[in-house]
Amino acid sequence: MPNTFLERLNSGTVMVSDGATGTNYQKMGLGLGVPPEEWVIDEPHNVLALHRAFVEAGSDIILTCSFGGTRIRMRDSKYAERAPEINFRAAQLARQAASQRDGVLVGGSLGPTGQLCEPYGELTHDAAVSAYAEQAAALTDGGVDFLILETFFALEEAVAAIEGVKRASALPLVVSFSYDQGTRTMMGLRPSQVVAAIAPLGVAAIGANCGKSLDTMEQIVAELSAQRAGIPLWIKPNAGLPRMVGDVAEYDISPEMMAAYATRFVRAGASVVGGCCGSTPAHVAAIAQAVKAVAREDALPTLSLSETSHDLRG
Amino acid sequence: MTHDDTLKALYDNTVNGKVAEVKELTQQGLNTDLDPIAMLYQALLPALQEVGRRFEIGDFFVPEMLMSARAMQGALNLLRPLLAAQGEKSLGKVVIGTVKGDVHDIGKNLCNIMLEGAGFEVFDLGVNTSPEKFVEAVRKHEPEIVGMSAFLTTTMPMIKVNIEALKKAGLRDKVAVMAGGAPVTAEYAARCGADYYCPDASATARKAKEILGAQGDAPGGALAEAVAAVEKMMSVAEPLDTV
Repeated sequence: MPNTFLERLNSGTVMVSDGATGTNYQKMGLGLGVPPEEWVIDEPHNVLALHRAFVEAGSDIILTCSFGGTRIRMRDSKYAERAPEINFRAAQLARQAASQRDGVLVGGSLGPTGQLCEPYGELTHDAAVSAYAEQAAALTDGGVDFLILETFFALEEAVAAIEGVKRASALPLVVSFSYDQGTRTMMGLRPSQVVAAIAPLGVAAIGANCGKSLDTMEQIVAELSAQRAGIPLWIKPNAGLPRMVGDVAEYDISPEMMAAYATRFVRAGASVVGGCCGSTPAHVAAIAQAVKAVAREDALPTLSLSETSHDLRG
Repeated sequence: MTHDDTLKALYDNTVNGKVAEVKELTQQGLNTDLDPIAMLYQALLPALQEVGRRFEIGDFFVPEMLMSARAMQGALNLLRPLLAAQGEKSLGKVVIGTVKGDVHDIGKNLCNIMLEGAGFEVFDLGVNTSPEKFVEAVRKHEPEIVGMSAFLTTTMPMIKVNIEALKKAGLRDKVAVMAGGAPVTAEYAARCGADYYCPDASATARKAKEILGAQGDAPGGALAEAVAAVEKMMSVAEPLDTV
């Protein structure tokens, strides 16, 4: 069966992903220090509600609440022994929310383990491979359309994760890094180095998410585009950096500002745009509206004939 | 190889994270009666401070820092018994931990390395550290400084909870509180009631030294000389090679 996600990516259609998970859950009452994945079991209605809000806002893609769902990262959770079940259920919840509008796709989210791989840390390649294989298998069984490794910062861990995912699942795989030092990851990687190392491993798209600012994300998009690796780009920046108001993290970037940058990312070659930390459904709605306007412009190169183009736009 | 050559090589190899070479050079220094204090203060500590400086300006990243720290630790393992015999004392004690609900310890571990490298005795409480555990450790180890690290916007409010717990236990006045971690800002740390904000590992070690200086427990002559040497070196350092 052809994969809809791959078909759309390769047809050049621009897709809008969703916004943040953790920061929105916080506003919905996620307790201090509680891993969002626990809500899959404890507050499934809230998980569904946020997914639905993104679908209503215009997301073509929503991501499962399973970012911290590797067995390794869940070690200290009260559901440490139920990691595969959480991933399976997270996939089903997203699937359920996606069904409210035709064509909404579900991406299974897999984040870093939080540990450093050898030689810099204790985590062995084999342990990482098997943790990601287990998570990918559970998400695939739960019914996602594709898988995404997001917010990665170390090549060793990403390579092990790709190996694990491919061992367990035949679904398309997106690999997205966080350049939180500006245009470098915490481990000092530049976008060009990531593309050089990851592109040959056979991935559906390469991305950048989270990170430092919209401006640095624009530099990253430019560098990724310049690689011309023939691989679609996935871009999901933060709504700026958090400012704490009491115990709540506030993000200052407005939906309009996010949308303006999303438009620029699309013009620079991004196939999928969305938001990371701090991005609310309102941000996604603004992005969706702006990005669709870009698509219309592209379809109508004779925009100067405003009357005609207006008619054609229907 | 003269003693000066050995010290220079020790410095260069530590900066470049050459674990095996640093160990070999340290042993070679000991075999040729090179003073362990000289190796520590004229090569290893300045090297680690240089690594910290490059980290702060974005020239070095976590991998380089970890390899240098590992090289330094290899050398310290050889030197420590001799330094202890010479009565070399620690600069002070630091209790450090990642806050409750947070399992991220890469940044905190870098702080440990920089603090140990700077001559502090570090008591690491690990990750997911409850306020009770912070209180208990401060009571038991009587540190001058306690450090709290949070990586998530969802866990950073624990810094304040920990400080409240220290107050309640009557220990708040006995320690200086340092706070840091990816989402933590100077403003936020201050609002939580922390005394100092540390944006990264290198700044943590620098700040810790300042704190103890402020408490009248200034570093000894040899260290003061080393610090002066490093400061001089830094003042002639090349401008930022921004990306």
